[in-house]
Amino acid sequence: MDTKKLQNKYLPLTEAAYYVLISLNEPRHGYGIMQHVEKLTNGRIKIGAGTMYGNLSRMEKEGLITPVAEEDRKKIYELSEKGKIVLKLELERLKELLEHGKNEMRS
Amino acid sequence: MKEVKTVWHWWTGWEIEKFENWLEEMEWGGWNLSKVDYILRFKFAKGKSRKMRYCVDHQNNVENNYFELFKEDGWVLVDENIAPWYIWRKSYEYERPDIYTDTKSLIERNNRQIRNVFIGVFISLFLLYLVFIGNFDSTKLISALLILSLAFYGYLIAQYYRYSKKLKQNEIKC
Repeated sequence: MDTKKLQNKYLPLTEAAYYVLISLNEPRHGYGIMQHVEKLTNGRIKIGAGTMYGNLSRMEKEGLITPVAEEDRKKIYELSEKGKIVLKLELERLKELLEHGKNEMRS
Repeated sequence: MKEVKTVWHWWTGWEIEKFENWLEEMEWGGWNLSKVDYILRFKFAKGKSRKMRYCVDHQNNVENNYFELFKEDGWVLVDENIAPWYIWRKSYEYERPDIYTDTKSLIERNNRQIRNVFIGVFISLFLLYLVFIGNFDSTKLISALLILSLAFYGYLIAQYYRYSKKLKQNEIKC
């Protein structure tokens, strides 16, 4: 899939989707991601269990994340190659947004 | 003997919050929900007044990890026999917990319900087609019932779309 298609289809990510993806740079299960995101954002973002399940199911179907193991009825996921590319594109987009904002506000 | 009461309560998929609030008020008044039958019949036992958040989910196919994820987050499933509906509850003190923390997921829950209604529409249309190609004696009655069911599905779909529109207007981002 080329860059343009991925950008049109997935970007911008919702805040929940963004944090789910960056959390899966290492293998985690749903509740592990919820805790990680809450800690990372100092409690600003608390992803509900339903929102988490919905995001994980959708991203698995879209091939952005892959289940790597199942332990005690918990599914453990990790970023797929496609997920890594989408995340890289999103980071570039956010970087551009930030730079533009900083530059404009300076003058 | 514990005091119990059985209540029939009408609720709809496009006014889930109202239904959730009703259950929460019952708990606050000391009526603890113990069982749900036929989606609309609720059994309560008189007990302590509890501050209990209720969240109603709709899922067509769930895997084991669905239940595990909710349990880990402290949610308790009230009853398992009313699938595709899942009533979750969690006691709380200050911050009212939620299973859905963004509008996108709420709209997705709504879309799953709309999809199920469309399955009903297709079944009705298919039966109507069978009635027309066959020569049943009671053709008129069956057709009338099927057309009535289509009108009912139309009503449901219109209500669900209105709900989606309302959700989009008061968008919450996680």
